[in-house]
Amino acid sequence: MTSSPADTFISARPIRKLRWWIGGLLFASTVINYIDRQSLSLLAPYLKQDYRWTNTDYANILICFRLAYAFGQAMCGRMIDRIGTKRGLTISVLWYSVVSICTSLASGVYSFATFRFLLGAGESANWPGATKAVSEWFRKSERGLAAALFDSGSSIGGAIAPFIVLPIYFRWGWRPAFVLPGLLGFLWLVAWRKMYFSPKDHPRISAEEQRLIAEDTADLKRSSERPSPRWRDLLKLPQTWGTIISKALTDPVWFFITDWFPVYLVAKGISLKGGLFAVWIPFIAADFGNFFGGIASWFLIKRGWSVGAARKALVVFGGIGVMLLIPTILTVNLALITFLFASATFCYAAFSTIANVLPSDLFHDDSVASVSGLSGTGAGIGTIVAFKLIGYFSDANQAMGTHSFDKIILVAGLIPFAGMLLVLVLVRNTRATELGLVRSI
Amino acid sequence: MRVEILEDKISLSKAAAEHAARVLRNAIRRQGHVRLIAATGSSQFEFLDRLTVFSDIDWSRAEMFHLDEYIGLPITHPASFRKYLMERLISKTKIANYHFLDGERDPTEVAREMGKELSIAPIDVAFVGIGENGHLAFNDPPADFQSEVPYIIVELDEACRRQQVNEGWFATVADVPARAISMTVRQILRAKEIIAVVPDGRKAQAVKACLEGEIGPMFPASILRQHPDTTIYLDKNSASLLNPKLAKGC
Repeated sequence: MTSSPADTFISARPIRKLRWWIGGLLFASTVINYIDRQSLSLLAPYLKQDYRWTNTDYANILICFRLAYAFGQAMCGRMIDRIGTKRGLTISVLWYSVVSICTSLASGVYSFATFRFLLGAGESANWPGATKAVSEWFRKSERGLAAALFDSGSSIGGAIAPFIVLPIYFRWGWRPAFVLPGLLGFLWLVAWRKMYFSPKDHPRISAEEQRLIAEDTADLKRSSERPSPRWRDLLKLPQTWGTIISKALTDPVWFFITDWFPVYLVAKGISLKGGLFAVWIPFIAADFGNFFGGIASWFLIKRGWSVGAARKALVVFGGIGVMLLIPTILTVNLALITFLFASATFCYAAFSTIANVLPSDLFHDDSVASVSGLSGTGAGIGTIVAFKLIGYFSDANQAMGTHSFDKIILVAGLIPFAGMLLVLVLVRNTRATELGLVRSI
Repeated sequence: MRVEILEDKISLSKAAAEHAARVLRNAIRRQGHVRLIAATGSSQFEFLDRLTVFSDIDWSRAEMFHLDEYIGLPITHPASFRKYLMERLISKTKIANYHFLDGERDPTEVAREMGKELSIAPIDVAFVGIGENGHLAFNDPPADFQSEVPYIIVELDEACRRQQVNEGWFATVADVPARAISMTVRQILRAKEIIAVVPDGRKAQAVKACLEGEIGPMFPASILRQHPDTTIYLDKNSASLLNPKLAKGC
């Protein structure tokens, strides 16, 4: 597994702005990660038919992924801290690419659930791994943009997945549709093994870039020498709960859209063959929403708004905007449904960017990762509960045809609104701020 | 759902029969046998005529079920669906493995027995029609979209019974049996592929409601739109009320 950098690049010229190439690699791994996981939701309407799954069966398969994914993040984070970014992401991508290929051997609910569980475990390393790579390679000021870059790979991956997965399915059936996305992972691995080294070892880094990065890392080391606050202490703070809620009450809605949207369209009588564009537009909209959330709050802060006010403005924008899901109940017009979903995901994504930024706004360096991990687990639990309910209610209401998802959509539209209200109440400057336990916003 | 609109009833039947033959041949080649569900009614005449002339379908490897049958009607009655299928499909193709819904026996027992046979293995293809009132098999509106059992006993509604008289199967509405054994909507949707054959202007209203309206029990055939592999064959007449834009986009 270990190759000496010197073997690979003998007397190679330095590459300018090498860190953005690294950012590009991380973006690509997120794209592949999402293509691998979207394959199942895109094929779900067909697999449901072939294997006579109810929505409850489908929900259980998704939940297996989510379980491994939610708890895997915490474990993979620790693993990557121990064995390093390069080896950690190598194992992760190798793992989930092999699992994706093996999914083509599945033959029913249990085998699909098993493969999905394994996929979730492997894929969960991507975010901690990429975050760590960003922290190794980017200065503080650029970290937000670098994170937005690799994170946007999820929307791009989701957007291109239908064009890779569905044509393969229509031509050759579902099994090859799991193999090809897996093979993409191997291509990425070749690039990763050749191109990724830490800044201090990288054979192609310029001396100037190396120095800039080293200055920032020194700063990181100092702050990690203080003892970290315990979870128990963090959980006493309203700001911690506000941060957890901002993710736990928005992520389930996003995962409803990524995992159930094709099934929802089919329940409305819309054919996926004619509706390919409907499946990727909401992802593109989310991508814009991500960047919009970051840029708009940056702009407001520049205009003199406090960090808290700027962040909350976007939370309000997102909380209200996601309610645009609700009018889809009233129509079976594909263009209109797509437009409403896209608007809602745009607003969701703006909210989500804030949810991702809140830990670093509110907490000191030594507890950012802990709070971010807690909110990730909160989001995981929220999603699992939501999926269980979605499976149950959509099966129970199947007699309602077009309207079998109505109640679910209504709730999905309202939950981020409730999240918005709670964030407004919980995230504020308190006595803990005065005591210096949390940062003032 | 794919919507194919053909010039007239004859070209419709030809296209649908070619499609059906392809599905049957593929299933036999792939798995050595095919399990199919046949529909009845005057709208299926030309389709079955066409389908039964293909010489390259190995019908000895086919197993046939049917959608529905009147309760209390003997096989000798001109309107009996068993008689219909015997004459128009089974005697022509020599399918040996067929399952009839015996309308003269205890219907609950027939429904249960036949349901058991049907559920042994997946159904490869279902041929269906759509009634003038939008019914699917004998599931008249408001249809039961929820029953998971394969067959149920249903009451036939006035519109459905009048259609049978207009098609010439019975002399008066009073002669049409009031009850039937019908395959459930859920069971029909379990077929891997569905081919709906819907000719004639008298179906135009139902076709419009089922393809353009909401999916729901008041338009039973609308549920076909939730099936991932359904093709509906229409002619100019049955498609006459469809929104031209929508008809292309489906």
